[in-house]
Amino acid sequence: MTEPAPGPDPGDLGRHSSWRNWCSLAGAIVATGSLFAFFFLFTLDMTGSGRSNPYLGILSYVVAPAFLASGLALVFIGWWRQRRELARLRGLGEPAPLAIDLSRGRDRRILAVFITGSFVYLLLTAIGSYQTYIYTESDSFCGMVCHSAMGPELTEYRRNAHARVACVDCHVGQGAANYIDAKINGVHQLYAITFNAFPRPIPTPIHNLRPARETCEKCHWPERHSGNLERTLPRFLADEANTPYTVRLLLMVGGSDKEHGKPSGIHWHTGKDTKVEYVASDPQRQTIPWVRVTDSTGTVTTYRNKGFKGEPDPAAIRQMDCIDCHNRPAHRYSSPNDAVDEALDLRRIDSTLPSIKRNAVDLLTQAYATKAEGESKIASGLRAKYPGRQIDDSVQAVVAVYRANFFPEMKADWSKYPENIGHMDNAGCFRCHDGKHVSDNGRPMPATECNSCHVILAQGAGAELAKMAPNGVAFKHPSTEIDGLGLICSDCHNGKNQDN
Amino acid sequence: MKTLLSIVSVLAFSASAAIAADASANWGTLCASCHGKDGAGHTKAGKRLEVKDLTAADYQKTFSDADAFNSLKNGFKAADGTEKMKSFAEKLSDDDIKALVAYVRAMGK
Repeated sequence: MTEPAPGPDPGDLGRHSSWRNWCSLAGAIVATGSLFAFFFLFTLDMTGSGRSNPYLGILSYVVAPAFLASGLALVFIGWWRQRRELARLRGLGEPAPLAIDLSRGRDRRILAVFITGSFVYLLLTAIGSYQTYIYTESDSFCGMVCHSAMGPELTEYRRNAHARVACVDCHVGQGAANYIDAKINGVHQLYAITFNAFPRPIPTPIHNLRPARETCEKCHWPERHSGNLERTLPRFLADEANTPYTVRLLLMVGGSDKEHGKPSGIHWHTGKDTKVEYVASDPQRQTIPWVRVTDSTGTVTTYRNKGFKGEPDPAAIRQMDCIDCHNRPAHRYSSPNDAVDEALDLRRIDSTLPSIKRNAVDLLTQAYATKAEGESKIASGLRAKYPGRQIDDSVQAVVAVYRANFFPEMKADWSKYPENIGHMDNAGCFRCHDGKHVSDNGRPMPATECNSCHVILAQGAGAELAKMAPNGVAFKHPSTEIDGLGLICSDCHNGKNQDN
Repeated sequence: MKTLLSIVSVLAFSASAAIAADASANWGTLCASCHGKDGAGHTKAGKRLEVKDLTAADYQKTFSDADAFNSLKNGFKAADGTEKMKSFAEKLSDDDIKALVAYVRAMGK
């Protein structure tokens, strides 16, 4: 028989506090540290000292409060367990229920500390919650926290026309319901980011994007669309001389509000009294075999191309809105042809370098494993093409084009995200207006002529561009004759050199 | 005599190299956008126009040099009358066309 280990003296137990235990102590340390961290980060955020760091928001309003809450939880768990243990050792069984006796000074002091602490904690929680809300709605949260996945989109967003419109204005929207929807959807995205399970490239279009009537039309209200727009498109041929060939267009953007006359032009599609619906046979909505138009008189006309028989699945029918043509309004990846033409036009690339257009586009469109490899090989490739020439500025300009538009790690570039505006590299307007869509009574879809949407005011280079033709001229294809072959631009043009 | 022969040889080699260079340049400028750099026709336009693979020896046997010359000079239509290739008579001389035919023939070997 061995003597039982001596237990604590029951006389000492009365002096033991339930707060004095390792669990509560650890919790207090964690809570104090995170509270200090919160105040420090909060001050940095408020004074703007760390504005450029996207992680500051996460640390301030997500990580630090989470640690604070965990620390406080540990404090109370430790207190609860210690209280039970002390009661057991005193032989009292279950601890007596909590009782606050305000006639005792000690209880009044404890209560005062508790109420003050709770008030401070709730205040901090309110500030933290509000700042968390603000932060999770910010562009840096959307674009930079998930930088490996959303890096390409953020880069293009910052270069594009909607750079001053917050991500959430289009992708989330106002109101608690939209916020909750977005955050629930964000859980799935958080999983994908955490476990590296996101697709490359990120697929588009976004099928649950808010309707254009709630986003685009808040600023671009259709009632104000009217008239024509003049556009000058400077191009350079992929020949030895990098021959300039500019087209000046008058775009008939038109409008749909009767106050400005009969609805007409490209924006006829957006009329309040007009409904255009379609079915696409591919995820990127590049092939449209079925279109239904309901005009202002209520007349319904259905157009089909030859291959489409029967009726479409009603669930697959989509009502056309802004985003069906303006499908890259904030994340446009320039094609190598467009980007190099722009750099040549702005004289960032030296157009006296023989075949620089072709060579630059060729180098930009090679397959590279990483961005760094691409930049390095483009620079060395260009220098090898022009030995003895001073081409630093041109090299820098072509590398800048690559840096801004190509993301090999995410497999993202212009070729993965076809743009529907126009019809140069992708079918665009010709997805429907290709002359192959016919109504049930045999009427072809209107507006299949080039001049339905634009007239060419001038084309060529130098003095040719000063010869303006108000009624437009027929397009003259540079370099080679193609009339009669039944081709549209996008049958050959692909945004890069066409020989590969 | 040896010197004279050497000069003639160098001139002959230079002339043939120049012709080859011209044919290659013309191919790149006028033909490659549909037929591709290598002649296989794996381009966007080539697929749309259903051009044949000029690197295939079997296909090369289906036309003569004269047929190829005529197609380049006057254009080419499919059996159903659909125009497939425009005439290059205004852009290429007869010698240029002959050089291009030789260039195309070399693809099938």
